[in-house]
Amino acid sequence: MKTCLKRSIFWVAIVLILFSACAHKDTDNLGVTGFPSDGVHQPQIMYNDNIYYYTATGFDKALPDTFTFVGSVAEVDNSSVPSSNWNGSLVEIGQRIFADVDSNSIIYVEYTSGFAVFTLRNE
Amino acid sequence: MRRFTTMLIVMCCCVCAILPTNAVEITGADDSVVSFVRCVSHDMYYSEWENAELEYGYDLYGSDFSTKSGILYYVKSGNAIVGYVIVDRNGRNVVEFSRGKPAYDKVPQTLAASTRKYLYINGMPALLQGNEYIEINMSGKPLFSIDMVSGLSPMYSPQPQSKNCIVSAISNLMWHWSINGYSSLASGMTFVEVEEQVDGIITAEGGYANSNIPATIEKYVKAKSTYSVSVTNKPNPTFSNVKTEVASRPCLLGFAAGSPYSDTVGHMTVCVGTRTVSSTNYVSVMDGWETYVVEKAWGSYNDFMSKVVLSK
Repeated sequence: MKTCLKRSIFWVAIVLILFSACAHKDTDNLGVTGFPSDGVHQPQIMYNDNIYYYTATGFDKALPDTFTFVGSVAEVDNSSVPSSNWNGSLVEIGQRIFADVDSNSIIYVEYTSGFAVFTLRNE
Repeated sequence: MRRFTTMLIVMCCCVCAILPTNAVEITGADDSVVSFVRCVSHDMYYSEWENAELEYGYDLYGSDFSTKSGILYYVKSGNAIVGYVIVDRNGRNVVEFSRGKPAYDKVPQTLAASTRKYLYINGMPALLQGNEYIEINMSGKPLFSIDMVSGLSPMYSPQPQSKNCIVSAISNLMWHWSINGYSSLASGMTFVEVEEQVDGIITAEGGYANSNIPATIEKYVKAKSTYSVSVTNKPNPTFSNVKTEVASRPCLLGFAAGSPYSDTVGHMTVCVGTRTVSSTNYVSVMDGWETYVVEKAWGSYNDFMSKVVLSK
């Protein structure tokens, strides 16, 4: 009986070891990557009749002195690009927007960890 | 309007030549340049230049990379740079001026180099860094580069994505090969049409997952051409893995959630180069967001690469 118990424990341990060896971390992304094809893929905001795009330069920029608060994101729609000022895609309602009155090439948008640069598209 | 403004400035310069001097100071600039800056400062848009100083910036070179084509001076008000002027090789005639920053100073930090020559060719900025010649636009964004030794310059034509990022990255890779010797891959097609075809295949394979990339590329290439292709996914690549791969050909490179692209969603790109600056590694990618190759810092978020080997 004792020998049988020992054998059982042995085989259970072997099975557990085999299972743990097989359960490797899956880094081949079985899940979905990116946004669906029928939506917007790049964060953007319409301000002053222009669409400004986030270009992945980081959320952690410092705000330059020349930029002042001009307003906040009013509406968000991730299924289509913004068509009215203060509206955006892939941003949050209430995020604060900062602009430089002398230059319209970029705006800053506040995130919890800092400010992100949004730029006009360079065609 | 522009002509009118230019005429005003020229007239202003003439008048200023007979007016008593004001507070513009120089550090090596020719008197005519100082005089020009003094005149321009009477324009309301250049009022910050009124008490400005000229500070030597750097020499500019022409198309042979050795003949001086001009000199750039910063216009400084106190410690602040409030513009710049570029003078010709004689140092006397202003050929360009602005209240902004010179294009050379707006080049992305990732392109920083310890040794660099500033080029000013036909009024346009460019850089020579080592063997690499880089044309930049007025925003400092690289437009074109070429290895001066090998003469090789793969044609990159990054296209903005209109669909899911995996779809776009695969499409950008097919688009790239189509203009670099494998024309059948997008013959007679627009980029959006390539995306639509790739989207259809990957959706049939199970959706926007990295694991569906090999079958999608293989089926696309087979549908469009007689080329052979081999696709191998590699999770958690090292920077060295990517560097080795892109030395031969572009690859797909993943940025997991938490990368600069997104806090919450992964992003797929096409990697076409690598660079190490001040011990920091960078990857050059066609990211579907910009219409030029961009450089992003390598990070632990780079969790995936897909090697794609094409042959005829």
